[in-house]
Amino acid sequence: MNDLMPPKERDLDPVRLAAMKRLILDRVAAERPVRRRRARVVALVLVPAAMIGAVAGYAGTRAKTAEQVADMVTCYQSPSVSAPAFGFPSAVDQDLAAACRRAWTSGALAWPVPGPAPSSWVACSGPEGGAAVFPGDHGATCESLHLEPLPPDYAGAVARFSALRGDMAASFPDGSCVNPSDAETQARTVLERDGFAAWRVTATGFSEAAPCAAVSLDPVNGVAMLSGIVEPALSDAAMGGAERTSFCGPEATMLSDIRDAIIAAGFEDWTVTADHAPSAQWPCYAGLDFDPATRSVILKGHATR
Amino acid sequence: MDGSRFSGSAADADLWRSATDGDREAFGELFERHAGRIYNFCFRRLADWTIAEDLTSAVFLEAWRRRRDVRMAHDSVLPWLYGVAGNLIRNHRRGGRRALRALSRITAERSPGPDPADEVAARVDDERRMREVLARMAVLRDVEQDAFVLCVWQGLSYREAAVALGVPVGTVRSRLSRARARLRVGIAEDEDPSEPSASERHGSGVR
Repeated sequence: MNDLMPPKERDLDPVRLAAMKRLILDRVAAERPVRRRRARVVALVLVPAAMIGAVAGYAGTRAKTAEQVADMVTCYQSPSVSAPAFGFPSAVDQDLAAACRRAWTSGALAWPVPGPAPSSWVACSGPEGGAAVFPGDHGATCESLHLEPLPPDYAGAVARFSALRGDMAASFPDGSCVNPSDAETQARTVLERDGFAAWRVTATGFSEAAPCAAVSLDPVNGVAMLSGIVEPALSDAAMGGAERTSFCGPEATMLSDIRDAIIAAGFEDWTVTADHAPSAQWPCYAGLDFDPATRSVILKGHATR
Repeated sequence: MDGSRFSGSAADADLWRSATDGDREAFGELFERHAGRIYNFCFRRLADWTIAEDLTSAVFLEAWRRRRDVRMAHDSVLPWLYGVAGNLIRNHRRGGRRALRALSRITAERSPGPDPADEVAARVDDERRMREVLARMAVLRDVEQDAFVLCVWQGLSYREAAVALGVPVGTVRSRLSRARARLRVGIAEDEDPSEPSASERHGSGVR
Protein backbone atom coordinates (compact mmCIF):
# COMPACT_ATOMS: atom_id res chain seq x y z
CA MET A 1 0.00 0.00 0.00
CA ASN A 2 2.89 2.32 0.74
CA ASP A 3 3.82 2.13 -2.93
CA LEU A 4 0.50 3.80 -3.64
CA MET A 5 0.79 6.67 -1.21
CA PRO A 6 0.98 9.98 -3.07
CA PRO A 7 3.10 12.83 -1.70
CA LYS A 8 1.42 14.97 0.91
CA GLU A 9 -0.87 17.68 -0.29
CA ARG A 10 0.47 21.18 -0.73
CA ASP A 11 -1.19 24.54 -0.41
CA LEU A 12 -1.25 26.97 -3.28
CA ASP A 13 1.00 29.95 -2.72
CA PRO A 14 -1.30 32.71 -1.39
CA VAL A 15 0.05 35.27 -3.87
CA ARG A 16 -0.59 32.94 -6.77
CA LEU A 17 -3.97 31.97 -5.40
CA ALA A 18 -4.96 35.63 -5.30
CA ALA A 19 -3.66 36.18 -8.83
CA MET A 20 -5.54 33.14 -10.07
CA LYS A 21 -8.72 34.33 -8.39
CA ARG A 22 -8.34 37.79 -9.90
CA LEU A 23 -7.84 36.31 -13.35
CA ILE A 24 -10.84 34.04 -13.05
CA LEU A 25 -13.12 36.77 -11.82
CA ASP A 26 -11.91 39.07 -14.58
CA ARG A 27 -12.74 36.40 -17.12
CA VAL A 28 -16.12 35.82 -15.54
CA ALA A 29 -16.86 39.52 -15.66
CA ALA A 30 -15.77 39.74 -19.29
CA GLU A 31 -17.96 36.89 -20.41
CA ARG A 32 -20.47 37.66 -23.11
CA PRO A 33 -23.92 36.05 -23.21
CA VAL A 34 -23.62 32.39 -24.17
CA ARG A 35 -24.67 31.63 -27.72
CA ARG A 36 -27.00 28.79 -28.46
CA ARG A 37 -25.47 25.65 -29.84
CA ARG A 38 -25.59 25.29 -33.56
CA ALA A 39 -24.24 22.80 -35.98
CA ARG A 40 -20.53 23.25 -35.70
CA VAL A 41 -17.92 23.84 -33.13
CA VAL A 42 -15.25 26.46 -32.87
CA ALA A 43 -12.25 26.00 -30.63
CA LEU A 44 -9.76 28.78 -30.00
CA VAL A 45 -6.06 28.21 -30.04
CA LEU A 46 -3.59 30.95 -29.32
CA VAL A 47 -0.58 30.12 -31.40
CA PRO A 48 2.72 31.74 -30.46
CA ALA A 49 3.20 34.55 -32.89
CA ALA A 50 6.88 33.81 -33.11
CA MET A 51 6.10 30.50 -34.78
CA ILE A 52 3.63 32.03 -37.17
CA GLY A 53 5.89 34.91 -37.99
CA ALA A 54 8.70 32.57 -38.80
CA VAL A 55 6.51 30.59 -41.17
CA ALA A 56 5.24 33.73 -42.80
CA GLY A 57 8.73 34.94 -43.38
CA TYR A 58 7.94 38.24 -41.81
CA ALA A 59 10.91 38.23 -39.47
CA GLY A 60 13.47 40.71 -40.54
CA THR A 61 15.32 43.76 -39.50
CA ARG A 62 12.32 46.06 -39.72
CA ALA A 63 11.41 47.51 -36.32
CA LYS A 64 8.25 45.97 -35.00
CA THR A 65 5.40 47.86 -33.46
CA ALA A 66 4.42 47.30 -29.86
CA GLU A 67 1.36 45.34 -31.01
CA GLN A 68 3.56 42.96 -32.98
CA VAL A 69 5.60 41.92 -29.95
CA ALA A 70 2.87 42.03 -27.32
CA ASP A 71 1.81 38.39 -27.24
CA MET A 72 4.76 36.35 -25.98
CA VAL A 73 7.79 36.66 -23.74
CA THR A 74 10.92 34.56 -24.22
CA CYS A 75 13.65 34.45 -21.59
CA TYR A 76 17.15 33.45 -22.72
CA GLN A 77 19.91 31.89 -20.65
CA SER A 78 22.58 34.17 -22.09
CA PRO A 79 22.75 37.18 -24.45
CA SER A 80 22.31 35.12 -27.60
CA VAL A 81 19.23 34.28 -29.63
CA SER A 82 20.54 30.72 -29.93
CA ALA A 83 20.85 30.25 -26.16
CA PRO A 84 18.45 27.95 -24.27
CA ALA A 85 15.18 29.78 -23.88
CA PHE A 86 11.75 29.53 -22.29
CA GLY A 87 8.67 31.24 -23.70
CA PHE A 88 5.29 32.05 -22.20
CA PRO A 89 2.37 34.33 -22.99
CA SER A 90 2.61 37.96 -21.99
CA ALA A 91 0.50 39.35 -19.16
CA VAL A 92 -0.75 42.73 -18.08
CA ASP A 93 1.60 44.54 -15.67
CA GLN A 94 4.11 41.72 -15.96
CA ASP A 95 7.58 42.35 -14.52
CA LEU A 96 9.68 40.75 -17.27
CA ALA A 97 12.85 40.53 -15.18
CA ALA A 98 11.02 38.89 -12.29
CA ALA A 99 9.29 36.49 -14.64
CA CYS A 100 12.59 35.48 -16.22
CA ARG A 101 14.26 35.07 -12.82
CA ARG A 102 11.44 32.74 -11.87
CA ALA A 103 11.80 30.79 -15.10
CA TRP A 104 15.49 30.50 -14.28
CA THR A 105 15.18 29.38 -10.66
CA SER A 106 12.36 26.95 -11.39
CA GLY A 107 14.47 25.13 -13.95
CA ALA A 108 12.06 25.89 -16.77
CA LEU A 109 14.69 27.83 -18.68
CA ALA A 110 17.45 25.26 -18.25
CA TRP A 111 17.84 22.14 -16.15
CA PRO A 112 19.79 21.64 -13.95
CA VAL A 113 19.41 25.26 -12.85
CA PRO A 114 22.57 26.99 -14.11
CA GLY A 115 23.47 28.81 -10.90
CA PRO A 116 21.84 31.85 -9.33
CA ALA A 117 19.47 33.80 -11.53
CA PRO A 118 20.86 37.02 -13.02
CA SER A 119 19.57 40.07 -11.22
CA SER A 120 19.47 42.28 -14.31
CA TRP A 121 17.78 41.58 -17.61
CA VAL A 122 17.36 43.51 -20.85
CA ALA A 123 14.21 43.28 -22.96
CA CYS A 124 14.34 43.57 -26.75
CA SER A 125 11.89 43.04 -29.60
CA GLY A 126 12.20 39.36 -30.42
CA PRO A 127 13.69 38.35 -33.75
CA GLU A 128 10.43 36.66 -34.75
CA GLY A 129 7.98 38.59 -32.61
CA GLY A 130 7.33 38.73 -28.90
CA ALA A 131 9.57 40.21 -26.23
CA ALA A 132 13.04 38.66 -25.97
CA VAL A 133 14.62 39.03 -22.53
CA PHE A 134 18.34 38.45 -21.99
CA PRO A 135 20.62 38.57 -18.94
CA GLY A 136 22.37 41.93 -18.99
CA ASP A 137 22.51 45.34 -17.49
CA HIS A 138 23.06 47.75 -20.31
CA GLY A 139 21.09 49.03 -23.24
CA ALA A 140 23.65 47.93 -25.78
CA THR A 141 22.58 44.31 -25.37
CA CYS A 142 19.79 44.62 -27.94
CA GLU A 143 22.00 46.43 -30.40
CA SER A 144 24.76 43.86 -30.06
CA LEU A 145 22.24 41.17 -30.95
CA HIS A 146 20.94 43.23 -33.91
CA LEU A 147 17.58 43.55 -32.19
CA GLU A 148 15.42 46.59 -31.58
CA PRO A 149 14.66 47.60 -27.99
CA LEU A 150 11.10 47.03 -26.82
CA PRO A 151 8.82 49.78 -28.16
CA PRO A 152 8.06 52.42 -25.51
CA ASP A 153 4.34 51.65 -25.47
CA TYR A 154 4.89 47.90 -24.96
CA ALA A 155 2.93 47.76 -21.69
CA GLY A 156 -0.11 49.39 -23.27
CA ALA A 157 0.09 47.04 -26.23
CA VAL A 158 0.21 44.03 -23.92
CA ALA A 159 -2.92 45.28 -22.17
CA ARG A 160 -4.71 45.70 -25.49
CA PHE A 161 -3.60 42.31 -26.81
CA SER A 162 -4.52 40.60 -23.55
CA ALA A 163 -8.00 42.10 -23.84
CA LEU A 164 -8.27 40.81 -27.40
CA ARG A 165 -7.06 37.36 -26.34
CA GLY A 166 -9.59 37.27 -23.52
CA ASP A 167 -12.44 38.55 -25.65
CA MET A 168 -11.73 36.02 -28.39
CA ALA A 169 -11.78 33.28 -25.80
CA ALA A 170 -15.04 34.58 -24.35
CA SER A 171 -16.59 34.84 -27.80
CA PHE A 172 -15.76 31.24 -28.64
CA PRO A 173 -16.32 29.33 -25.40
CA ASP A 174 -15.41 25.67 -25.42
CA GLY A 175 -18.14 23.50 -26.76
CA SER A 176 -20.02 26.35 -28.37
CA CYS A 177 -21.16 25.59 -31.85
CA VAL A 178 -20.62 28.23 -34.47
CA ASN A 179 -20.88 27.99 -38.21
CA PRO A 180 -17.45 28.85 -39.74
CA SER A 181 -18.84 31.74 -41.75
CA ASP A 182 -20.46 33.09 -38.60
CA ALA A 183 -17.15 32.56 -36.84
CA GLU A 184 -15.47 34.85 -39.35
CA THR A 185 -18.05 37.52 -38.67
CA GLN A 186 -17.72 36.96 -34.96
CA ALA A 187 -13.93 37.21 -35.03
CA ARG A 188 -14.19 40.36 -37.10
CA THR A 189 -16.59 41.86 -34.58
CA VAL A 190 -14.20 41.16 -31.71
CA LEU A 191 -11.25 42.60 -33.61
CA GLU A 192 -13.10 45.81 -34.38
CA ARG A 193 -14.51 46.16 -30.90
CA ASP A 194 -11.04 45.77 -29.34
CA GLY A 195 -9.32 48.22 -31.67
CA PHE A 196 -7.74 45.73 -34.08
CA ALA A 197 -9.83 46.68 -37.10
CA ALA A 198 -6.80 46.57 -39.38
CA TRP A 199 -6.33 42.85 -38.75
CA ARG A 200 -7.40 40.32 -41.35
CA VAL A 201 -9.47 37.20 -40.74
CA THR A 202 -8.58 34.13 -42.78
CA ALA A 203 -10.22 30.72 -43.02
CA THR A 204 -8.46 27.60 -44.33
CA GLY A 205 -8.76 23.85 -44.24
CA PHE A 206 -12.50 23.56 -43.89
CA SER A 207 -14.15 20.57 -45.48
CA GLU A 208 -17.01 18.22 -44.89
CA ALA A 209 -14.67 16.15 -42.74
CA ALA A 210 -13.22 19.18 -40.97
CA PRO A 211 -16.23 21.39 -40.40
CA CYS A 212 -15.16 22.99 -37.12
CA ALA A 213 -12.71 25.78 -36.52
CA ALA A 214 -9.68 26.56 -34.42
CA VAL A 215 -8.77 30.23 -34.08
CA SER A 216 -5.17 31.42 -33.94
CA LEU A 217 -3.96 34.96 -33.37
CA ASP A 218 -0.91 36.26 -35.23
CA PRO A 219 -0.01 39.75 -34.00
CA VAL A 220 3.15 39.89 -36.10
CA ASN A 221 1.16 39.83 -39.31
CA GLY A 222 -2.12 41.06 -37.85
CA VAL A 223 -4.20 38.00 -38.69
CA ALA A 224 -6.88 36.03 -36.89
CA MET A 225 -6.80 32.63 -38.56
CA LEU A 226 -9.66 30.15 -38.60
CA SER A 227 -8.55 26.60 -39.41
CA GLY A 228 -10.78 23.62 -40.10
CA ILE A 229 -10.61 20.76 -37.61
CA VAL A 230 -12.61 17.59 -37.12
CA GLU A 231 -15.70 17.53 -34.97
CA PRO A 232 -15.00 17.13 -31.25
CA ALA A 233 -17.49 14.24 -31.19
CA LEU A 234 -15.12 12.32 -33.47
CA SER A 235 -11.98 13.13 -31.51
CA ASP A 236 -13.70 12.36 -28.22
CA ALA A 237 -14.96 9.02 -29.51
CA ALA A 238 -11.55 8.08 -30.88
CA MET A 239 -9.90 9.04 -27.61
CA GLY A 240 -12.41 6.99 -25.70
CA GLY A 241 -11.63 3.98 -27.86
CA ALA A 242 -7.90 4.42 -27.43
CA GLU A 243 -8.25 4.81 -23.68
CA ARG A 244 -9.81 1.36 -23.39
CA THR A 245 -6.30 0.01 -23.59
CA SER A 246 -4.61 3.17 -22.33
CA PHE A 247 -3.03 3.68 -25.75
CA CYS A 248 -1.07 0.44 -25.42
CA GLY A 249 -1.00 -2.47 -27.84
CA PRO A 250 -1.69 -4.98 -29.25
CA GLU A 251 -2.19 -2.91 -32.34
CA ALA A 252 -5.15 -4.88 -33.69
CA THR A 253 -7.04 -4.46 -30.44
CA MET A 254 -6.42 -0.75 -30.37
CA LEU A 255 -7.50 -0.26 -33.95
CA SER A 256 -10.62 -2.29 -33.32
CA ASP A 257 -11.49 -0.39 -30.12
CA ILE A 258 -11.13 2.96 -31.81
CA ARG A 259 -13.03 1.82 -34.86
CA ASP A 260 -15.92 0.56 -32.72
CA ALA A 261 -15.99 3.83 -30.79
CA ILE A 262 -16.11 6.11 -33.79
CA ILE A 263 -18.74 3.98 -35.51
CA ALA A 264 -20.85 4.19 -32.37
CA ALA A 265 -20.46 7.96 -32.54
CA GLY A 266 -21.71 8.03 -36.12
CA PHE A 267 -18.41 8.32 -37.98
CA GLU A 268 -18.49 5.00 -39.80
CA ASP A 269 -16.90 6.55 -42.90
CA TRP A 270 -13.61 7.11 -41.06
CA THR A 271 -10.82 4.52 -40.96
CA VAL A 272 -8.25 3.88 -38.25
CA THR A 273 -4.56 3.24 -38.86
CA ALA A 274 -1.25 3.33 -36.99
CA ASP A 275 1.90 4.92 -38.32
CA HIS A 276 4.04 2.18 -36.78
CA ALA A 277 3.65 -1.10 -34.93
CA PRO A 278 4.18 -1.14 -31.17
CA SER A 279 7.35 -2.81 -29.93
CA ALA A 280 8.65 -4.26 -26.68
CA GLN A 281 10.53 -1.04 -26.04
CA TRP A 282 7.63 1.21 -27.01
CA PRO A 283 4.46 -0.77 -26.36
CA CYS A 284 2.18 2.28 -26.37
CA TYR A 285 1.27 5.13 -28.66
CA ALA A 286 1.66 8.76 -27.64
CA GLY A 287 -1.53 10.10 -29.18
CA LEU A 288 -3.92 10.41 -32.09
CA ASP A 289 -3.97 12.51 -35.20
CA PHE A 290 -6.73 13.09 -37.71
CA ASP A 291 -6.40 13.42 -41.47
CA PRO A 292 -9.62 14.90 -42.86
CA ALA A 293 -8.44 14.41 -46.46
CA THR A 294 -8.41 10.63 -46.11
CA ARG A 295 -10.85 10.54 -43.19
CA SER A 296 -8.29 8.67 -41.15
CA VAL A 297 -7.66 8.46 -37.43
CA ILE A 298 -3.96 7.77 -36.99
CA LEU A 299 -2.23 6.36 -33.92
CA LYS A 300 1.10 8.12 -33.59
CA GLY A 301 4.16 8.48 -31.41
CA HIS A 302 6.11 6.15 -29.17
CA ALA A 303 5.39 5.77 -25.45
CA THR A 304 6.06 3.40 -22.59
CA ARG A 305 3.44 2.07 -20.23
CA MET B 1 -5.75 37.52 -0.26
CA ASP B 2 -8.84 39.48 -1.05
CA GLY B 3 -11.23 40.02 1.80
CA SER B 4 -14.45 38.09 1.69
CA ARG B 5 -17.91 39.12 2.81
CA PHE B 6 -19.02 35.50 2.96
CA SER B 7 -18.81 33.46 6.10
CA GLY B 8 -17.03 30.13 5.98
CA SER B 9 -20.31 28.45 6.77
CA ALA B 10 -22.12 29.68 3.67
CA ALA B 11 -23.29 26.60 1.80
CA ASP B 12 -21.80 25.87 -1.60
CA ALA B 13 -25.28 25.74 -3.08
CA ASP B 14 -26.08 29.23 -1.81
CA LEU B 15 -22.79 30.59 -3.10
CA TRP B 16 -23.30 28.91 -6.45
CA ARG B 17 -26.78 30.37 -6.73
CA SER B 18 -25.45 33.84 -5.94
CA ALA B 19 -22.64 33.39 -8.43
CA THR B 20 -24.94 32.36 -11.24
CA ASP B 21 -27.09 35.37 -10.43
CA GLY B 22 -24.10 37.53 -11.20
CA ASP B 23 -22.32 37.77 -7.84
CA ARG B 24 -18.64 37.47 -8.71
CA GLU B 25 -17.56 37.51 -5.10
CA ALA B 26 -19.58 34.39 -4.44
CA PHE B 27 -17.72 32.59 -7.20
CA GLY B 28 -14.47 33.90 -5.78
CA GLU B 29 -15.38 32.45 -2.41
CA LEU B 30 -16.02 29.06 -4.00
CA PHE B 31 -12.67 29.30 -5.74
CA GLU B 32 -10.85 30.01 -2.49
CA ARG B 33 -12.75 27.23 -0.76
CA HIS B 34 -11.97 24.47 -3.25
CA ALA B 35 -8.93 25.50 -5.29
CA GLY B 36 -6.51 23.71 -2.97
CA ARG B 37 -8.27 20.36 -3.27
CA ILE B 38 -8.54 20.67 -7.04
CA TYR B 39 -4.87 21.67 -7.23
CA ASN B 40 -3.76 18.57 -5.38
CA PHE B 41 -6.14 16.35 -7.34
CA CYS B 42 -4.69 17.60 -10.63
CA PHE B 43 -1.19 16.98 -9.32
CA ARG B 44 -2.07 13.46 -8.29
CA ARG B 45 -3.30 12.68 -11.79
CA LEU B 46 -0.44 14.35 -13.68
CA ALA B 47 2.58 14.48 -11.33
CA ASP B 48 3.35 18.06 -12.27
CA TRP B 49 2.76 20.94 -9.88
CA THR B 50 3.02 23.63 -12.55
CA ILE B 51 0.46 22.00 -14.80
CA ALA B 52 -1.71 21.33 -11.77
CA GLU B 53 -1.73 25.03 -10.98
CA ASP B 54 -2.63 25.94 -14.54
CA LEU B 55 -5.36 23.34 -14.66
CA THR B 56 -6.80 24.53 -11.36
CA SER B 57 -7.59 27.89 -12.87
CA ALA B 58 -8.85 26.20 -16.01
CA VAL B 59 -11.17 24.02 -13.93
CA PHE B 60 -12.88 27.03 -12.41
CA LEU B 61 -13.17 28.81 -15.74
CA GLU B 62 -14.71 25.68 -17.22
CA ALA B 63 -16.95 25.29 -14.19
CA TRP B 64 -18.19 28.82 -14.70
CA ARG B 65 -18.90 28.12 -18.34
CA ARG B 66 -20.86 25.03 -17.34
CA ARG B 67 -22.40 26.64 -14.28
CA ARG B 68 -25.94 25.68 -15.33
CA ASP B 69 -24.93 22.00 -15.31
CA VAL B 70 -23.70 21.91 -11.72
CA ARG B 71 -24.63 18.99 -9.46
CA MET B 72 -24.29 19.23 -5.71
CA ALA B 73 -23.41 16.28 -3.49
CA HIS B 74 -23.89 16.58 0.25
CA ASP B 75 -24.43 20.29 -0.49
CA SER B 76 -20.87 20.47 -1.79
CA VAL B 77 -19.83 21.47 -5.29
CA LEU B 78 -16.43 19.85 -4.83
CA PRO B 79 -17.31 16.43 -6.31
CA TRP B 80 -18.67 18.07 -9.43
CA LEU B 81 -15.52 20.19 -9.67
CA TYR B 82 -13.49 16.97 -9.52
CA GLY B 83 -15.48 15.81 -12.52
CA VAL B 84 -14.72 19.01 -14.42
CA ALA B 85 -11.07 18.58 -13.49
CA GLY B 86 -11.07 15.00 -14.70
CA ASN B 87 -12.32 16.06 -18.11
CA LEU B 88 -9.69 18.77 -18.42
CA ILE B 89 -6.97 16.36 -17.34
CA ARG B 90 -8.02 13.98 -20.09
CA ASN B 91 -7.99 16.86 -22.58
CA HIS B 92 -4.56 17.84 -21.39
CA ARG B 93 -3.22 14.30 -21.79
CA ARG B 94 -4.44 14.14 -25.33
CA GLY B 95 -2.88 17.51 -26.07
CA GLY B 96 -6.34 18.93 -26.36
CA ARG B 97 -6.63 22.33 -27.90
CA ARG B 98 -9.21 23.40 -25.39
CA ALA B 99 -7.01 22.62 -22.40
CA LEU B 100 -3.99 24.21 -24.01
CA ARG B 101 -5.98 27.30 -24.72
CA ALA B 102 -6.87 27.66 -21.08
CA LEU B 103 -3.30 26.96 -20.07
CA SER B 104 -1.92 29.68 -22.26
CA ARG B 105 -4.20 32.21 -20.70
CA ILE B 106 -3.56 31.12 -17.15
CA THR B 107 0.19 31.01 -17.57
CA ALA B 108 0.03 34.56 -18.78
CA GLU B 109 -1.37 35.68 -15.49
CA ARG B 110 0.94 33.72 -13.23
CA SER B 111 2.59 35.70 -10.49
CA PRO B 112 6.35 35.84 -11.07
CA GLY B 113 7.19 35.63 -7.40
CA PRO B 114 10.41 34.08 -6.08
CA ASP B 115 10.63 30.33 -5.78
CA PRO B 116 13.10 29.24 -3.05
CA ALA B 117 15.48 26.47 -4.04
CA ASP B 118 14.43 24.11 -1.25
CA GLU B 119 10.80 24.50 -2.21
CA VAL B 120 11.70 23.72 -5.82
CA ALA B 121 13.66 20.67 -4.73
CA ALA B 122 10.77 19.42 -2.60
CA ARG B 123 8.39 19.81 -5.49
CA VAL B 124 10.75 17.98 -7.82
CA ASP B 125 10.87 15.16 -5.26
CA ASP B 126 7.07 15.17 -5.11
CA GLU B 127 6.85 14.89 -8.86
CA ARG B 128 9.32 12.02 -9.02
CA ARG B 129 7.46 10.20 -6.26
CA MET B 130 4.11 10.85 -7.92
CA ARG B 131 5.38 9.52 -11.24
CA GLU B 132 6.41 6.32 -9.49
CA VAL B 133 2.98 5.97 -7.91
CA LEU B 134 1.23 6.64 -11.20
CA ALA B 135 3.44 4.08 -12.89
CA ARG B 136 2.08 1.51 -10.46
CA MET B 137 -1.42 2.76 -11.15
CA ALA B 138 -0.93 2.19 -14.86
CA VAL B 139 -2.19 -1.36 -14.48
CA LEU B 140 -5.63 0.19 -14.05
CA ARG B 141 -7.92 1.48 -16.74
CA ASP B 142 -8.40 5.22 -16.62
CA VAL B 143 -11.91 4.92 -15.24
CA GLU B 144 -10.62 2.66 -12.47
CA GLN B 145 -7.86 5.11 -11.68
CA ASP B 146 -10.44 7.89 -11.43
CA ALA B 147 -12.50 5.91 -8.95
CA PHE B 148 -9.45 4.96 -6.90
CA VAL B 149 -8.04 8.48 -6.75
CA LEU B 150 -11.37 10.06 -5.82
CA CYS B 151 -12.40 7.52 -3.20
CA VAL B 152 -9.04 6.58 -1.68
CA TRP B 153 -6.84 9.62 -2.07
CA GLN B 154 -9.38 12.43 -2.15
CA GLY B 155 -11.70 10.85 0.38
CA LEU B 156 -14.96 11.05 -1.56
CA SER B 157 -17.86 8.79 -0.72
CA TYR B 158 -19.23 6.52 -3.43
CA ARG B 159 -22.11 8.91 -3.93
CA GLU B 160 -19.81 11.90 -4.28
CA ALA B 161 -17.54 10.01 -6.66
CA ALA B 162 -20.59 9.09 -8.70
CA VAL B 163 -21.39 12.78 -9.10
CA ALA B 164 -17.78 13.51 -10.03
CA LEU B 165 -17.64 10.74 -12.61
CA GLY B 166 -21.19 11.11 -13.90
CA VAL B 167 -21.93 7.41 -13.39
CA PRO B 168 -24.22 5.45 -11.08
CA VAL B 169 -23.03 4.65 -7.57
CA GLY B 170 -22.90 0.97 -8.45
CA THR B 171 -20.46 1.69 -11.24
CA VAL B 172 -18.18 3.48 -8.81
CA ARG B 173 -18.31 0.47 -6.50
CA SER B 174 -17.46 -1.96 -9.27
CA ARG B 175 -14.66 0.19 -10.64
CA LEU B 176 -13.13 0.61 -7.22
CA SER B 177 -13.50 -3.08 -6.56
CA ARG B 178 -11.66 -3.92 -9.75
CA ALA B 179 -9.01 -1.35 -8.91
CA ARG B 180 -8.49 -2.86 -5.50
CA ALA B 181 -8.20 -6.32 -6.97
CA ARG B 182 -5.68 -5.28 -9.56
CA LEU B 183 -3.61 -3.27 -7.15
CA ARG B 184 -3.94 -5.83 -4.37
CA VAL B 185 -3.71 -3.09 -1.85
CA GLY B 186 -5.87 -4.93 0.63
CA ILE B 187 -8.31 -2.17 1.40
CA ALA B 188 -10.78 -3.84 3.71
CA GLU B 189 -14.43 -3.66 2.86
CA ASP B 190 -15.11 -2.12 6.26
CA GLU B 191 -13.07 0.84 5.08
CA ASP B 192 -15.83 1.56 2.60
CA PRO B 193 -15.58 5.29 2.03
CA SER B 194 -19.31 5.82 1.69
CA GLU B 195 -19.36 7.93 4.84
CA PRO B 196 -18.33 10.35 6.10
CA SER B 197 -18.37 12.60 3.11
CA ALA B 198 -15.37 14.46 1.80
CA SER B 199 -16.78 17.73 3.04
CA GLU B 200 -17.09 16.33 6.53
CA ARG B 201 -13.57 14.90 6.45
CA HIS B 202 -12.01 18.06 5.19
CA GLY B 203 -13.84 20.66 7.21
CA SER B 204 -16.16 22.02 4.54
CA GLY B 205 -13.39 21.62 2.00
CA VAL B 206 -11.52 24.68 3.26
CA ARG B 207 -7.78 24.45 3.00
